[in-house]
Amino acid sequence: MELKKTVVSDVDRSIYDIANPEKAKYKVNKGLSKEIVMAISAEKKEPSWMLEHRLRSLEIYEKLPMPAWGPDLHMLDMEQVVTYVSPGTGMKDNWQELPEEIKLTFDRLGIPEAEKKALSGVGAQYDSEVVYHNVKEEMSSQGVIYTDMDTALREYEDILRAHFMQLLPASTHKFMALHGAVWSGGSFVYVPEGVEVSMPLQSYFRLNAPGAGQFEHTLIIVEKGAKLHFIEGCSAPRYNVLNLHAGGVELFVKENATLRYSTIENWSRNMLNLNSKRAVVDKNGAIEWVSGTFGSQITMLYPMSILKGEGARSEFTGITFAGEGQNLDTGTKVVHAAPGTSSTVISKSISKSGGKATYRSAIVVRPEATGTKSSVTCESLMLDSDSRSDTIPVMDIRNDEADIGHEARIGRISEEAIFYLMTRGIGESEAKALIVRGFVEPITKELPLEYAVEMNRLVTLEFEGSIG
Amino acid sequence: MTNYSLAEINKLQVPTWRALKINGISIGEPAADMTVYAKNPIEKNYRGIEISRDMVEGTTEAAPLAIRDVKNYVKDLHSTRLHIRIPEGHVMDEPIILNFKLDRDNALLIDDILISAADESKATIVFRYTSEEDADCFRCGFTALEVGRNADIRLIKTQLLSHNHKNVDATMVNVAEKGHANIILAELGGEKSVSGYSVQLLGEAASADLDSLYMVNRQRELDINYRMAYQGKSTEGHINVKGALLGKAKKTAKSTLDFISGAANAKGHEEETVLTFSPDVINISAPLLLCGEDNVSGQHATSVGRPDADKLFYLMSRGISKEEAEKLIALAAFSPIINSIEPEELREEMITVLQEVMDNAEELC
Repeated sequence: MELKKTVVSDVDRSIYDIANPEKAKYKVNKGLSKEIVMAISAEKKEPSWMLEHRLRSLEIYEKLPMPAWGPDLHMLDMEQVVTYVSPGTGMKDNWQELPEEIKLTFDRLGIPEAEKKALSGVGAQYDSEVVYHNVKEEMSSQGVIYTDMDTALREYEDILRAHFMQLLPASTHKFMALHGAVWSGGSFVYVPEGVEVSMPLQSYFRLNAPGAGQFEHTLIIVEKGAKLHFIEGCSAPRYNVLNLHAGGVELFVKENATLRYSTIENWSRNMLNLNSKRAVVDKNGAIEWVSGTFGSQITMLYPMSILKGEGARSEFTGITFAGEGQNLDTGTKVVHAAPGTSSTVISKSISKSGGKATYRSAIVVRPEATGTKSSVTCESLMLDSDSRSDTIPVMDIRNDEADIGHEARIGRISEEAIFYLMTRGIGESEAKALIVRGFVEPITKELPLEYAVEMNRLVTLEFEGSIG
Repeated sequence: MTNYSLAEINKLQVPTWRALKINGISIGEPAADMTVYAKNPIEKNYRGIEISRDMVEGTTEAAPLAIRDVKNYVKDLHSTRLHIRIPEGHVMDEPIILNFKLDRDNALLIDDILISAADESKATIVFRYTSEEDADCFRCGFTALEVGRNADIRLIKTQLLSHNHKNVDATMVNVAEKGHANIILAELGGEKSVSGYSVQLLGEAASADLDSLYMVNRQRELDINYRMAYQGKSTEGHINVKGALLGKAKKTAKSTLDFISGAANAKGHEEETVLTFSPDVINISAPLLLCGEDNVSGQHATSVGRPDADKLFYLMSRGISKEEAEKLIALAAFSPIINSIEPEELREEMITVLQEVMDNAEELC
C-alpha cells in the first residue's frame, strides 16, 4: 500500500499580504550614496556624531565583500532599494490618532488588542519610522524607559552614544555596515536595577512600501537583577519587487539580570531578511532567545550571545519553516568567555515544497572559559525530496574543562513510535499528530500564549499518512 | 610543474563564517631540493592480483570538493604511481601491504594510488607511512578505491610519520551495488597533517564504515575532513571518530553526512568522541548533516571533554597513577579501532606509538 504523505499547509498569509497604497511623506531616492545618508540624518535632525558614524559605516560598506558563504544574494541590487521611507505621521501614544489605514493594518495584526490584554508596552514601526509607542504607567513609574530610537537619541544621548553599535560594529559584515549607514526606527529599552517587568514589551515592524528597506535598531539595557521579556514581530505584504530588511539588535544584560527576546518573523516572500542580533551577558545573567522564522525569500539570522561574566548563560530555542521558494539560513552563535558559563541550543526545522532550511551555528569556548557547559540539539523534518535541510555546526573549544555535547537528527517520523501509540488505543492519524506536535512543542511552549496559538495556526497540520 | 597548490585544501563541504577559519587549510609546499621517493612500497609478490604503474582514470566520479585540489596536485606531480587490480571474485587470504618509508634519500613522496576491486572480490589493503626523524620529509598522496558489486574491501591507513614532517592525504572511495568498504584510519604522526576522505555510496545497498582514531600531542596540528555521500537507494554509511589531544595540540575535524536526492531509505550516523588532556589544546569540530532526500535517517553526535572522572577515580583507587590511568582510558577508548588493524605487527606498533605520544605530551622524544 502506498503511504500518503502528511500534508503540512503553507503559512496562511492573507492577513499579512494586505498592502496599503504608498503615501510616504518623505522618501529618499533609490540606491545608496553619501548624499542619501546625509539626507536621512538631516531629516532626523541628528547630532553630528551620528552623521559621522553613518558616513564611516558607508565607507566600510563600500569596502566589504558580499558573504562568501550562505544563500546566494546575487538578486540584491542596492541601486533599486529605497533605504528610507517616512509615513510622516509623527509618533503617537494613542492608536486613534494614527491615519486610518495604518491603524487598520495594526488592528488586523492584533497589536492594539494584545497591548490591552498582555503587554506592558507596545511600539509599532511603519516603514522607516516608529508611528506608535506607549508604555504602561506602572512601568514608567518604576523607571522603565521604552521609547523609539529617535526620541532616545534626543533624550538619552549619552547612554545611546556609549552603547550604539558597540556590539555590532559596522565592520561586523557588509549588511551591518549598511545598517550603520541608513538605520532608522527601532526601540530603546532601559530597565533599572532590580525591576522585574511583569508583562512583555512588544515592538512590531511593518514594511509597507514596495522596493524599500527597513533598518530598525533595537537597543536594550537590562540592569543588575532586572528582568524583561521583549517580543519582536515583523511582517510585510508581498510585492513583485525585492524588499530588504537589515535590522540590528543589541542587548546588554547586566549581572544577575534576565532578558528573554522572542521573535516571530513573518516577512513576505519577496523579502531578503539579513538581520543581526547580539547580546552580551554579565556575571550570572541570562539571555533567552526564542525565534520563529516563517517568512522571507532569504533569511540569514544567527543571534549571538557573548557570555562574558562568570556563570552567565544563554538559551536559544528556534524553529524554521521553509516552504516553496524560501531559503532560510538560521541558527545561533555563542561565545563562552568566562568560567562557569553555559549554553543550551534547541533548534527545529521543517522544509517542504522545495524550501531550504539550514541550521548554522558556532559554539566558541575561549581558554579562560573553564567549566563551560554547552548542549546543542537540532532536529529537522523534510517533507519531500524537492526540499533541502542542512545542518552546519562548528564547535571551537580552547580548554580541557569544557563539557560539550552536540546532537543532530534528520528523518521521518518513527514508525515504531506510531505503532507504540496505536497499541495504546490511539488512532493512527492522532498518533502522528501527537508526534508532530511533540516535534514543535519545545518551541511553542516557550512562546507567549497568543504567539503559540498563532504558530499553531500558521503550521496547520493535516495528518493523513506518514511524514515523508 | 603544476597549476595547483596546497594553499587552500581540505575544504568544508559547505562553507561557513570565515572568522572560524575552518573552510580550508593551507600547507606549505615541499622544499625544491628534496630527493624524490624512489622505493617500491610493495615488498613482496601477491598472487592473483595485478600491480602496474600504468594508471587509468579508473574512477567515473568527479572528485568532491574536499579532495579535488589535492587530487589535481598529485596527478601533476606524482613520484609514485600504482594501479592495483583485484580481479572479479578473487578473495585475498592475506593483506596487501604498501609500506612507505621516507628517509633522506627518499624524502619527497607524492603517491598516486588506484585500487580497483572488481565485483565479488574481497581484500584488505594496508598503507603504512613512516619517516626518519633526522631527515626533512614531505608526503602528499591521492588514493582512489573502486569497490565493485558485492565486493568487500578493507582499507587500512596508518600515518606514523615523524613529528617534524608534513603529510597530506586525499582519498576517494566509490562503492557499487551491495559493495562494502571498511576504512580504518590512524593519524598519529606528522608536525602538520591534513587528511580528506570522501566515500561515495553509489549503488543500491552499498555500505561503508569509516573508523578513525587520532592522537595529537605537543604543538602538532591535524586537520581531518571525512564525507560520506549517499547516492544509491538503501545505502548505509557510518563515521566513527575517536581522538585524544595533549600538550598544545590543535585538531580540526570536519565530517559530513551528505544525503543526495534519490537516496531513499539511506541511513547514516556520525560520531566523534574527543578526550582532552591539557588546558592548552585547541579542538574544533564541524559535523555537517546535508540532506536532499526526505526518506532517510541521519544523525550525528559529538562529545568533548576530559576523561570520565569516575573511571579515573576507580583506576586511581586501585593504585594506578593519574597519568597511567589516563593512558589506560584513552587506549580503552581506541581499542575497538586498534583491534581491527592488521597485520598483528602493525597493531602492536600502533599501540607502542600511542603510548609514546601520550608519554610525550609536551616534550620532544
